[in-house]
Amino acid sequence: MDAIKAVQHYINRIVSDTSGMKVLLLDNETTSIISLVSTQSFLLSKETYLVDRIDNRSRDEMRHLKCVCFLRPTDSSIQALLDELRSPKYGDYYIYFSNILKKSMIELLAENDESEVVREIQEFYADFYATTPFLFHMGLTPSVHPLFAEGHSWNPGALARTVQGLGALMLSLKKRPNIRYERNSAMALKLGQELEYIMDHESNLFGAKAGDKKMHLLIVDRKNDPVTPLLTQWTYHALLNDLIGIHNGRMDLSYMPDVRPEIKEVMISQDQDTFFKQSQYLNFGDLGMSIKEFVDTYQSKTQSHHQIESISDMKRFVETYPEFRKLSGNVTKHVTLVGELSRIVSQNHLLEVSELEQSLACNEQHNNDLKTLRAMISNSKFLPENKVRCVILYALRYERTQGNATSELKQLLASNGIDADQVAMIDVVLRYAGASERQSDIFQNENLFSRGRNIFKGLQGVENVYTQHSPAIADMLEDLLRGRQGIHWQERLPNLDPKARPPTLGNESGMFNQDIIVFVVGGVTMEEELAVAKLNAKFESQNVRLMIGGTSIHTSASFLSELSTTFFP
Amino acid sequence: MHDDTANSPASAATPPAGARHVRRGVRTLGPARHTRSQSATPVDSPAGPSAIGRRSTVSAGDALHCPICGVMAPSLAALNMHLDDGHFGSGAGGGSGEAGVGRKMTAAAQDDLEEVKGAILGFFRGAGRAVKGLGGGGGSDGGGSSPVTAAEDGSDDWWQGGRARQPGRPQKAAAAEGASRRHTAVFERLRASHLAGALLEGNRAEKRLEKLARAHAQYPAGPALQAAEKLIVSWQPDSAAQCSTCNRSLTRLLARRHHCRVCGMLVCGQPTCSSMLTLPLPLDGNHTAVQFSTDRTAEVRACSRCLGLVGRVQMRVRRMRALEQGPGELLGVYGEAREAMRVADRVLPVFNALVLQITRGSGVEPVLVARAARLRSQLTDAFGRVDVASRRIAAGPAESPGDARVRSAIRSAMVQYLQLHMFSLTMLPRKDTPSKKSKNNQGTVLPKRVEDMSVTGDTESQAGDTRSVGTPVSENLSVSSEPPGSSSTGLARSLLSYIVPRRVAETTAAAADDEDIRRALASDPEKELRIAGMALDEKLATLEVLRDQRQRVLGYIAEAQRDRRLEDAYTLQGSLRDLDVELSLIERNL
Repeated sequence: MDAIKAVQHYINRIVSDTSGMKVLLLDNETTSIISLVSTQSFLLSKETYLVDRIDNRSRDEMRHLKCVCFLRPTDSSIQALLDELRSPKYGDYYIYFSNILKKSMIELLAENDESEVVREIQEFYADFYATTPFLFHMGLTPSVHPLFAEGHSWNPGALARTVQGLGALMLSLKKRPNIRYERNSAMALKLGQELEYIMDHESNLFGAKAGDKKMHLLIVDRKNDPVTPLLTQWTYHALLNDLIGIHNGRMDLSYMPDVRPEIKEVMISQDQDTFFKQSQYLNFGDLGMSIKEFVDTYQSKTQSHHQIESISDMKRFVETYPEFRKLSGNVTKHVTLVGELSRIVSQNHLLEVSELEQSLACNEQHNNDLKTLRAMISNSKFLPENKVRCVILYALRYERTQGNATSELKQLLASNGIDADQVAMIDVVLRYAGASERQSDIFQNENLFSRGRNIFKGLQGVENVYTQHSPAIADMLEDLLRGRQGIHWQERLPNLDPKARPPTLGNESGMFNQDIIVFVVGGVTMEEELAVAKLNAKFESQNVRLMIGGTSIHTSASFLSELSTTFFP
Repeated sequence: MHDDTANSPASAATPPAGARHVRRGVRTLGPARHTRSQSATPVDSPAGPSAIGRRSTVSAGDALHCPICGVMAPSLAALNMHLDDGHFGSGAGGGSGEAGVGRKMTAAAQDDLEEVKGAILGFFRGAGRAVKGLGGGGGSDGGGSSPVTAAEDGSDDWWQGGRARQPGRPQKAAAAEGASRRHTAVFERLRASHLAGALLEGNRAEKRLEKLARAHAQYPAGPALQAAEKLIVSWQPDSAAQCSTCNRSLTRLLARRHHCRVCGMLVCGQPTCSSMLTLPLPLDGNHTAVQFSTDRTAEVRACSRCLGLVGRVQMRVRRMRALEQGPGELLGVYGEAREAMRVADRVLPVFNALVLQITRGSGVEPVLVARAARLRSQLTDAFGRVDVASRRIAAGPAESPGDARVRSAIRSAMVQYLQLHMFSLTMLPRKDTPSKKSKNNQGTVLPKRVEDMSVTGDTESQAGDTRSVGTPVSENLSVSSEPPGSSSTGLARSLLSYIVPRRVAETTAAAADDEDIRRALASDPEKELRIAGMALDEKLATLEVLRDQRQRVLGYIAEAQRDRRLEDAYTLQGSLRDLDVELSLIERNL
């Protein structure tokens, strides 16, 4: 149950199964899939001296190279491959596809390989984007691949991609899951049905349907928790993703005014970078401490390196030099990143914004919140998008509260010079995930019982005002793992196959020896990944392993932009 | 005459698989024109109503007759095929006698037979491989061809490679190993059946072209030439009045009628439908000539389909030729580097284990130190060769921007390799007081070393692909046992480019080494005896190592003096003296 290892296993086989000098041809999606989990130096060490795109027509002819292709079986990739096979530029061809091939595709390839250059055709199911061991997504970037057709229904292309990606994930983990879906979501149901169909259809790959499942796939819908993607996240990884932007494990820092040339573009990967691995889940405050310690260790090492007086000193230096050099590059990188984060945080007054966000997300204080919100909107030091975000949260929480002032706040936003398009996002989100669309009471303010719980929670006090919120998925998973409210969850999260045995999830004593993959239709957030990581640690003793994924990884900006294309009123 | 395999696929003698290939091949000869496989039935079958090609409406009333023997043919293509197979060479040659026809025909038939046989064999070979893969793997995604080639390698760990490619057993395989599915066998089968057809067509076209060239060499342009051309392939009657490629209706004036000289079909003159094909003519204008001139050529019209067929055959030939030539220089040097890396990969673990043992032990066993030093010198030599080779690759003339990228990537991969692996060279046998370690210490080293060797051997052959038997890399290689004298200094210099201070460590390392040897010699009163007790080849090997070391020390001395590090130079001089002593000792004993 490690998404990164699952992909790495395939990549390793792709480049190691064929020895000799070789070129690796990829298409636009496999390029991203591979670059997330692999490095240039790894490929070089496997004699892969050239990496190019299959659709690049200006590649030079090099007959002495072997050609390894890793492609998604899409029409465009197949077409590009056919062109390549008709006039082969390299020696032998070893072709790997990231998903299930159609018979017709194999025929087409066979008919076009008249030079008999193809030596191997295999399916290697690395067809999803593995961001961390517990987090994967399908690369459905809102601007490029629309998720919705109209309203709460799938865009056919996005559905096909998601079914393929999830199927590949199951194959890479060699599991056939029991599928459960959120009852109120047509999209979740549709996805579950399509996936089940594929698994039945290719039962020689997926294995037969078995009664007692060790693996569960829970398909949930973003619309049941629109709050989480709207909040400012404070862990290192999430901050980097939200404020600077990580694209396929890379960050572009070239926009910074006096950035050093070697860190114009930096890699972020927990595989190669121990500091990042240790601190990816640290929140902003702890991060400061951590980076200070990091710099201190570095300095102490530097000192010892500067005191080279004898030959034995020198030898010690030489022995630790590469480690040292790597460390020094890493220190520069992280100090730069943390510095940049703290600049953005203070420039945009994100701490103040976050305090209000958390209050809106977690506590029922209508009058207080409204007052703060009004003051914030009229204050020009806050960014427009942050103001809009807070109003959206307000509109979601107090949608059915008496004295709801959403329309007044909208006018206030407009009078403070905020675009009508941005103001309209409030209604967009309400259309997408208003109270009538949701099945769970995420704010716990709808009935007396949950209100009581909410107040009780409030009495417990909070550790950190900026990280009070815990995503709905975390509460759900914890309930399931502990074996609480079995009936309740069977009602809300039914099995796709009605004949399947009532899952062991309902067991009073909790769940043991199970793997659970949560898939969020509509995009997953870093906060949810953090929650899953915590749960993984917490329930290790029950031998339960969790993983979470989504159609994409959302920041609040990408979440809103995805909705804006479809749910415009 | 007409019952050779190529012509009558239904002949019962051919195995079913072959029959399928052939039938398929013939059908693809004119997919648009003859939709039925009927066209491939023996030519003397009557033109029944079932032969309804698009063209057959034309010839419905008057069936086509062969202009030579008068046999009826159901369709134009069938007639042309009959001309190819039954009267090969006779028409164009004009004067050639009937006796020659039979001989040539059988030759042609033989060719076709060979072709078909090849295709059938290919299919069976592919199928056999698939079956073997299934048997070895025990799953739908079995090891495929790997067990076969691996067995040829003679390495006994092929099954590990097979296991690595055989993830079909979940209970045994690690959880991290994902599923995969192999389509190679299916693909190869499909390709073989497609190629059998395509090749047949291509060869047919080639043969017609050859005949055309003869006709053009013999007759000047005019009615005689046209008659000869019509004997090679029968032309479609003008009454069809439709381009066979774009279905445009053709007239005498506006859209001029042309005939493809290869298949005889009517085509229009648009460049997308037909164009002129340049034919080299036979040198002596004679029938048996195989020599074709490059300056005497003729132009014949050919439709786009036939042009494609001919082009594909020519491309195959060109590609075969290009593959045979190979890029030579790059592959050779690269192979050398890889070989050196292989040597280093094999020696390094042994060396590391030895160093570990020496440093862990309370004292230094002189024999061990000496062996470590020897291994070390092997390693420096191997690394030196990697370095030199990668430099040569990087400096070599790049044929294209892509080639330049590959070359620089190879260089950086090797630099990366060196940086990673040269590290343990700095781990040295320390200068400790030599204490008498018991002999069984040495006894434990040897098996350990063997073990290490086999372990690295395993991982290497696992990483390396056993399928690639006969890759250029492994071909033109031999382990060069003669270390070039300059390599060590070259290495020292290359080290400089990575990490400046390393040079010092390197120097001291060498010094420490030599000192160890000196001590080992001095502390051992029976050094003469020891040397005398060595086998001849061992002596020679030691001699070689020592000479190499001497060369190296000389280089270091020069460097030290240049850099005014006189102390170092002094120590090194001492080492040099010791080396000389040792050398002379051995030489005396030879």
